[in-house]
Amino acid sequence: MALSADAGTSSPAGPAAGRTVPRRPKPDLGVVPGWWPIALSEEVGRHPKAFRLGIRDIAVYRDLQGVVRAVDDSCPHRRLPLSMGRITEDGYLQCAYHGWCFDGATGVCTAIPNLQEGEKIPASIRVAAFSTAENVADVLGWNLRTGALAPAVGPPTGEEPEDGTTMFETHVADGLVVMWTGEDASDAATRPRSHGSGERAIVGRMELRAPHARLAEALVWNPGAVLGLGPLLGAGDDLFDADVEVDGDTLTVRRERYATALKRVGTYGAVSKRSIATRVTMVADTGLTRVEAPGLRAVVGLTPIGPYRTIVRWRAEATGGALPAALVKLATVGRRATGRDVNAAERVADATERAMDRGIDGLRELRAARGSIHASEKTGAHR
Amino acid sequence: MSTLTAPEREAPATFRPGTFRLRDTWFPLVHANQVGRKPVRRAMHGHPVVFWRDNGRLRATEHLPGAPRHGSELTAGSGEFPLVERYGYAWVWYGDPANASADLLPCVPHIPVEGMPRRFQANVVFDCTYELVCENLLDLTHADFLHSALTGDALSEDDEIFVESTSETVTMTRVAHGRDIPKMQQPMLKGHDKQDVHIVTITYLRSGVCVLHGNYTPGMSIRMLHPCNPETRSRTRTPVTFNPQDMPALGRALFPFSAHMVGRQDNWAVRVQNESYMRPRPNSDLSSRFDKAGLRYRKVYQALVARQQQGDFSYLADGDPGRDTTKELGLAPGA
Repeated sequence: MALSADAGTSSPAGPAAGRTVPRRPKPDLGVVPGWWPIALSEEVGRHPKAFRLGIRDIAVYRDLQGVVRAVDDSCPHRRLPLSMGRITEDGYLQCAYHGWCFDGATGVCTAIPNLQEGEKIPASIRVAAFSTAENVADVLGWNLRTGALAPAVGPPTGEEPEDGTTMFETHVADGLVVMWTGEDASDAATRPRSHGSGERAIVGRMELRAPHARLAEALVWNPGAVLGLGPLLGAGDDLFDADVEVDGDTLTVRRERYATALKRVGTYGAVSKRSIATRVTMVADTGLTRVEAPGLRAVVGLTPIGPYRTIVRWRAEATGGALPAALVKLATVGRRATGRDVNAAERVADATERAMDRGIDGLRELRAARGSIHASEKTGAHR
Repeated sequence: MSTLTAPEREAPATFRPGTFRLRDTWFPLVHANQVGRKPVRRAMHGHPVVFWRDNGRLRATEHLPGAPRHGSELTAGSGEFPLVERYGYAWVWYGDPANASADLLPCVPHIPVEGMPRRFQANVVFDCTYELVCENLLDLTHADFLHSALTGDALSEDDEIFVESTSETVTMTRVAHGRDIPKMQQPMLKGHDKQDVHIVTITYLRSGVCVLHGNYTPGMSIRMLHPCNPETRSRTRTPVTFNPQDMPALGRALFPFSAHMVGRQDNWAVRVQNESYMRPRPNSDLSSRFDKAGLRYRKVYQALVARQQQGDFSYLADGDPGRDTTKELGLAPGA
């Protein structure tokens, strides 16, 4: 998918634009305020899908204009996950239980089935359309979802609650869907920017049994080993101490590593002398990371989904031509199929505990100073 | 927003199902004709109940036959629950055995006292706490949306909902005229395209027992006893009994098979709802005027919980569960 299609999220306003923004307070996600990655651009389609961040699920979908929308995954009416619903022809997110509809831009409730002026319900096609039971499979409760949109529900009748569901500001940068978790979206000025061209992109997603903080440290320490991109980012020993720089909420670490992580024999030096210089730039709170090396640029998102669970989503672009890109892609697919990608990343995350590295030290200091500790990591709280 | 604020004001600010065990009530835990010499194990509010026949006599005990007995306070130490057979069920008392009285059984006028044959019975298990199943049964708009093929959508000339309650029950009545005949009913009603609908649901709050009568004119009369037995906070067992009337023999024979079709659709929703209701949330639910019955249920439920938390397990004068509901259910001639 071309990045340019995603880049503009200051979208055309939703169908119910102009109505008041819901007063519903944002639910506690158990993460510090920030732009948190919640999905890869490819993972989000027309059908709403649940993505987890911290201790809650978020229903994410693309509206009719293709703009990514994110709402709290719980209908404010009777709490059914909105990710079980679907999109109507007029672009609303419709809950599957009672058919309440919400505008993804503002979260406002725009339609309640049967609700019309007065007690009389005139015989119109509008109401008849409210049915999730479309075929035999649905009647049997299998709920296979077709690609079809739900029928249009028409404009609000004015009898809907002024309140609605909680909507989150989203933004797509370098193929990662990021979501603002702070209270006020106007504070969210420093939204992540797209850097890459999107050509020859290699995409990866791993669900790891590791805490978010450990993985952030692992990325600063040895991104090549975490992502399985050793040949392009380097995964072997450091040549020198890392060079650490702090700028506000961002940590930049420059280092040079041997490309291969081959074990040294006895007291002999490294067999392969090829080394790669990298620059890792990380937002300390969220762990949103940019990795740059001569042959590769990558953006990495870390999404905490529990006290000891983190999803790593990354997108890399090989800058050295079509052949290296194809080889890296092939290796990535192979590692994913065999499960080596997850094993290797978890091993690096575990090893950070005892690692001696200026980059890790710098990140720990910065996170402690900023209080970037996530409730989702401290407690076993859910939802 | 005048139509919305009224029921909202009526509803309790928070609804925490599964957090309190309402006591001193009868639970229809099992169809009596499904218990033989082999013990059948059931639960009420997490407490085990074992049904078995002792030389033909139906018994409900806390332990398997032959196991050592130390009874709990639910059996006053005897290990044997108070038990009544009626409407084809073994009703077991949950609470102080000294208060157990057959007068407190609900009145189910449309099911024979000796019960229905086995082919009119079904056993549906929902993965949620029983309050959510009760609320689902009192809820109208979800049926239009989730079960429209079976019960029809909401397209009608007029459609009115009445809610009445006592300290122990909530009665929801829905009257609609000129509704399109739903797909599943069409083969039985050739030559008609519209029907009038009169649906009554009586919910007994302590036990979760729901007595339903759906009268479709022209068309069938569906009479149901739908227990919502709280097995655990995440499981409700419904040993349902159907008594379909005014329909062809084939339709009557096939009707009980709808139990698991409808049940599965409902469970698809309530099982995920449950997790969300089990945890305290700062935001209370929004409601529309169609949620009138469900909100009344929450209100009466909270009042009953508050009274039992004070140690008052008695039935108030207006809340006699044994009251004659023939007329209320629309079964009396001319009703």
